[in-house]
Amino acid sequence: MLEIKDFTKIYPNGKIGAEKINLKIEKGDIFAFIGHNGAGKTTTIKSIVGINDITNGDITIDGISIKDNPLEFKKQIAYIPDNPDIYTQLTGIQYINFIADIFKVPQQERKEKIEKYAKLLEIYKDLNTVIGNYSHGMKQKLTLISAFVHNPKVLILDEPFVGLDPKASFIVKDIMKEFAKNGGAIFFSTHVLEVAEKLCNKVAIIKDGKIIANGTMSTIKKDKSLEKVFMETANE
Amino acid sequence: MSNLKILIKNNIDMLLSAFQGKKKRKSTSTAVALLVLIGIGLIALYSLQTWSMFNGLGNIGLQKLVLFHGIITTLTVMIVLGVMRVTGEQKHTDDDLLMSLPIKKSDIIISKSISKYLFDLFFAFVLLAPFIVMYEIYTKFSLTVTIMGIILILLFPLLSVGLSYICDFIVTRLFNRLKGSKFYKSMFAMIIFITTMSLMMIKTFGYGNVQTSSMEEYFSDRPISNTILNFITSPKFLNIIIVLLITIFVFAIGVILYSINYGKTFEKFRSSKTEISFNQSSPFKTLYLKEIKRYFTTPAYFVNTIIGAIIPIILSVAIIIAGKEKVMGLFMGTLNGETILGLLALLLLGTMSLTNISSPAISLESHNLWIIKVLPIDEKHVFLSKSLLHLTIAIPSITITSILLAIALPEFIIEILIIFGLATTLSGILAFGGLFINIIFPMLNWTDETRVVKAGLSTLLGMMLGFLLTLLPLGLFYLFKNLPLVAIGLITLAVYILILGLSIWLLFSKGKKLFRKL
Repeated sequence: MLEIKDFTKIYPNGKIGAEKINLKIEKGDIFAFIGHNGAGKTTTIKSIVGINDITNGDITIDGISIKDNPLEFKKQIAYIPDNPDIYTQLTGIQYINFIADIFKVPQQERKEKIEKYAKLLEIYKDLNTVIGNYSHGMKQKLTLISAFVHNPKVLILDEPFVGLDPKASFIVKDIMKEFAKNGGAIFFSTHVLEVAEKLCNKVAIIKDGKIIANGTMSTIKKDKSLEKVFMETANE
Repeated sequence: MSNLKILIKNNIDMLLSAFQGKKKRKSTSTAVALLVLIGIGLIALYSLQTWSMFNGLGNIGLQKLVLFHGIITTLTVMIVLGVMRVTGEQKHTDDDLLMSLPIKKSDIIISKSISKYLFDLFFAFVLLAPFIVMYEIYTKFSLTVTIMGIILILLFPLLSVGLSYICDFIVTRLFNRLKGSKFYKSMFAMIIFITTMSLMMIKTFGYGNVQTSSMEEYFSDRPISNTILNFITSPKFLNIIIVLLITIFVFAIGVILYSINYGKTFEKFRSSKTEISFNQSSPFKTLYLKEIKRYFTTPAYFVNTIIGAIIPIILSVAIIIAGKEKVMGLFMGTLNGETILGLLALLLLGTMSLTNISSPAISLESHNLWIIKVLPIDEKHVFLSKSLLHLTIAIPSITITSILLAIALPEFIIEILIIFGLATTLSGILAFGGLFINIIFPMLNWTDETRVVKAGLSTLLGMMLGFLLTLLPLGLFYLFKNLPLVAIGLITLAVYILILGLSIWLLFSKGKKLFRKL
């Protein structure tokens, strides 16, 4: 589904953000992307979603390349950033409608989706409030709803559990499992290794812009904890 | 280094970074040089205008009247600068950081006030210093006038800074709990601006007809400006007290109110509306409506750019009310109707240059930029939605102004149609060209949106582009003195259309590529 082939990102100042990254995320995968601070997680994720350009290599979804066909590529994905900076002058519902309009989601379909997820995440009553009044967690929930409103094939999340209360985190994990079960693919970065260990079937570890471990959770972990594996590989 | 000095240095660094471009490829010294160059340019332009006024009225014994006019203009600009700074925002993005550091609140307030003061001091100097210098050249040198003039230049910015703090306090307390509070804040600032400009126009409209014998009567009819004039020319105790009240006292009140509000979070409107709207729009319409909403609910953006659209309308209404004869009388019969219309055209083009809506549009996306980069939106739709916002504000203003001018001066219909064409194409150039300039010089990490809209490099360059294009017909007029004004207008229109085409091509070709790299 999502394929990252020989992806390299070199910044204008010469710094290598990511080097020859090769990853495959299939349907039904919940793929954890872990690494220390500054390892290249966000660089990789931002290149996948089209915020950064690519120096070398390519990123495709079902053969659609982000370099050759960026609009078609972006129609397949939904991105939730670590820091949900969204339009503070809009109300919650205006923001979701904005996203839904871009993806041309029909009115009835968006109504069903918004009602479902907004009630699940308990912000339905706040949808008419201006986003400027939202807390960080509320904005995070809003971006989640806006991600699901248009049926993406691939969900890309950068630290999705930051700012969420325990109940919301639990619900989000459930939503992610359901999404993967229904044929979607999830690729997300996190520092919470326990969550990655329980939730994900695949994992990749990045260090200084290079992938140092990649595979199924059981293959990578073996009989150790993910935290232990991470510390060992990170210190090599 | 004391905390206050650290904070002031930090503010200067942030101001300079606005001139260093996206990649900071330019050095600090280049940014400073650019600032100085812009400053010298403005001073030179304004000095030229001052000299021509003294050359006209000064030679017939009305030097004091010209100085008086300079004082009124500076006073009005100081009030406008203060009002234009009103955002009604309780917090800037660095407030929490600063409050969490071991810095005295008073140091934070003082450093922020100094930055604003220095910015306004520049304008006070540019506007008033040429008048004081020319006054002394056309009368005789006076140490009193020089010293009091310098003191006045140093005092004036206190008025603008204090006023902005007072207005911010009022809008925050009055409107914060209302639905659509940001819209009301924008309207509040705009109403004060219109009132100030209208008062200034009413009070200065007839100054061209003033004779030496009626000069004192003219002054006494405008007591505040007269007091300030006497502060410079013949300072007495009462004049000094009043000027200090207007400046230092207003500043002191403003700072007190600012420090009361600083760092606080006030309760905002929370909707009790239960019905959720799931209305569907087309992708382009939703983009455009988002721009419209941002524009009218961002007071700094709205107030600082709507001025250029409002001034020509106010002026046209004033011309209709005053009547053609009074307008001609302003120039004391030295200019004919066609030339006066030419001057009005320059004024309209100049004010359109102030309607700099596109120039900060990309910068204002700031931390929201990721949204339009991640979504399946063609860059051209992003550019079109932002340019269309610019045109949505500019075109109605140009249309209304043209209609009003046609009512006031019906014998000049052809010329007014050409003026309409010129102003519309210039707005198009600024709408598309301004956006292209912003893509080259974005300012995406800001703590105060006022800084982006007023002091961003792209905003200044957009304004300079507008002013240069405004000077084009003037240049043609001096080069080809025998050409009728209609011909000059048509040649200028042809050049504008070419530049418009170039702007659109640059934006949608190179602009797209550069935008992807942001």
